[in-house]
Amino acid sequence: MIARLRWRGRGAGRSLTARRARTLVRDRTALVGAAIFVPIVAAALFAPLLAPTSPTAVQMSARFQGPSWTHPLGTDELGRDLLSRLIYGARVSLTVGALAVTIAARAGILCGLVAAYYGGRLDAAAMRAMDGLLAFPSIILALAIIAALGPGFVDVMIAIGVVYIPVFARITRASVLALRSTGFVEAARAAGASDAHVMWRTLLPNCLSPLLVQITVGFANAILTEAALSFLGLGVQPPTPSWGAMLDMGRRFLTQTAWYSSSAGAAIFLTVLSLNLLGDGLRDTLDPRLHATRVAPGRGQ
Amino acid sequence: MGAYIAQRVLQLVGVLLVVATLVFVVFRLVPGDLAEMRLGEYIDPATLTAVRHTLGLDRPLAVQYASWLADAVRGNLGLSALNGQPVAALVLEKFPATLELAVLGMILSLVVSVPAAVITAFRRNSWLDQAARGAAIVGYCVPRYWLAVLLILVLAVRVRWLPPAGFVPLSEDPLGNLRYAALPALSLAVTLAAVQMRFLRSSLLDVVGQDYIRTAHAKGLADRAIVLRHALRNALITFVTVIGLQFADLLGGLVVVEQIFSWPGVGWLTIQSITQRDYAVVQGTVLLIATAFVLVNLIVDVLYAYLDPRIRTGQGSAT
Repeated sequence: MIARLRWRGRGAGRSLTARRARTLVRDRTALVGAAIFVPIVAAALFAPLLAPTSPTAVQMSARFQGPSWTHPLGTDELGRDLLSRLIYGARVSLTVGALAVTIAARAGILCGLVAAYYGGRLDAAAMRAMDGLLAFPSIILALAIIAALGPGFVDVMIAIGVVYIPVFARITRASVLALRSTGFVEAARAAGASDAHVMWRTLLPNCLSPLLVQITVGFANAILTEAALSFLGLGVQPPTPSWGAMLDMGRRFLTQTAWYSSSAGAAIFLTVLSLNLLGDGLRDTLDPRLHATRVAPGRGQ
Repeated sequence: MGAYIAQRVLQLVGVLLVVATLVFVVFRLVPGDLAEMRLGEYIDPATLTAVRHTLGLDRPLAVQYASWLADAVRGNLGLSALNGQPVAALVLEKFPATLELAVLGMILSLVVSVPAAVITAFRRNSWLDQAARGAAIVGYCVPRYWLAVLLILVLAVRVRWLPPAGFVPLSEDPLGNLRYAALPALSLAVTLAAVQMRFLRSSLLDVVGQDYIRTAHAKGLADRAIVLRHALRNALITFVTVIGLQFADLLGGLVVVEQIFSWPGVGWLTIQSITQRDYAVVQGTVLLIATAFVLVNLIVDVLYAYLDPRIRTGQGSAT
């Protein structure tokens, strides 16, 4: 019985997924987002092949050079090639962002799922803890955690991950509360499915739409926060190239070369923009209510 | 209304307790304790034990927590490890400068976003609407620290209209103060305005579709009157919540912006204290910022309930 229910659920999901994938491809916003994001990911993946030189190769005779054939974006205060540092910087930003959002999503989803499923005191306690975390502006909480743990790759990831847990917990909880007493959940329970099975196999797949959008937007926010922490000197430490740190160093040498800070800032901006566009596109594709409002703009006229 | 406020204040106390606990726990994660930090690395064990005793660090954690909390509630946040000044006084001394930037940034953003939202909502899909929406997406995604650097590059380095960084107290030289405040306030305002415009535009569009707006049209009211007297007033109710939520963004943004423009506010103090490992001060600023944010949200919730009676009576879909 469970097998049959699951089979039907999956079959329906697949055709819906396919339909949504087609809508997503046709969505211009998502397409523009992907057109910017995919090359950035490719640059991060193939950094050793793409970068003209090593990102840490110091050449004191070539400090603050303008753009040229050998250094397309010029050089920094130690004569390092800015384009190479930018390309390798993508690795740091994307890795920290992705891992932080993974931490946040896993912990948040688990917390929201369990809290909403069991309800009662457990739910109340979990939600008060989330309220407490939400009471901190994100960067302040990240700063406090970094201040305690010390700056560094792993610590930054954990700090940002913790900051974004409540958002995922809240979204999951809200979706689960809406679904908890619906027919197919009752059916799964009546068929003798365990609590864990109902939570992970029945409820979670049906909450994925808003979570997927949040993962995309959360990824963008995590990258922004990482860059802000690096900008403040509390992120990934030199000589590892990071966009935030490049922006910070670049602003000290604004009069020597504007390329330094501008290129790093543009890289952060484009990554965040592409992820937000992808998120917008996903939201339009996955949220049926938006289709309804889209169809009826002339209602009141 | 009274009962609603009482209930919200009670909730607030709960949240603040969780906040204080989180702050306490986070700063216990610091490797080494306060005594070691104050004395440095090479110190004999006897002195260390003595200092630990005077600081109360040899007591059980629960007792330390209780006494810390009791002190914090009374406004005693400990002493700065660097200069021995009370943390609360240090933080409060920096607070007016931060408040000034926050208020300026918020006003600046509202001056832009409200008219922009009204124009775009009522000229939907015109080129103006499309341009403004494009600008809003860019404004939302542009990192504030980059925007600040660009503003310095253009307005301070290239054309030299405004000073790149610095501060004079408002009481000494109001005009000079505003000149210094212009760039940081502007870099705060852009992101805020982008989000405000997007929200207000979409809630205006929701309102515009309602029957009473059609009625207003039908009875021959001028567009201006419809916008100002009917549409905007109703759209502003949800807008208040957005403004409240934006204070998180604003307070976080202040940390970065104050650092870039050497603006001696609470955010600047936080970063200084982190780099100087003055944990008592960091703990104080974090606690103050979180408390300020929670308080602002309480005010917003109460204001929201005042504007929309459905909230406080627990009826209607908005709850």
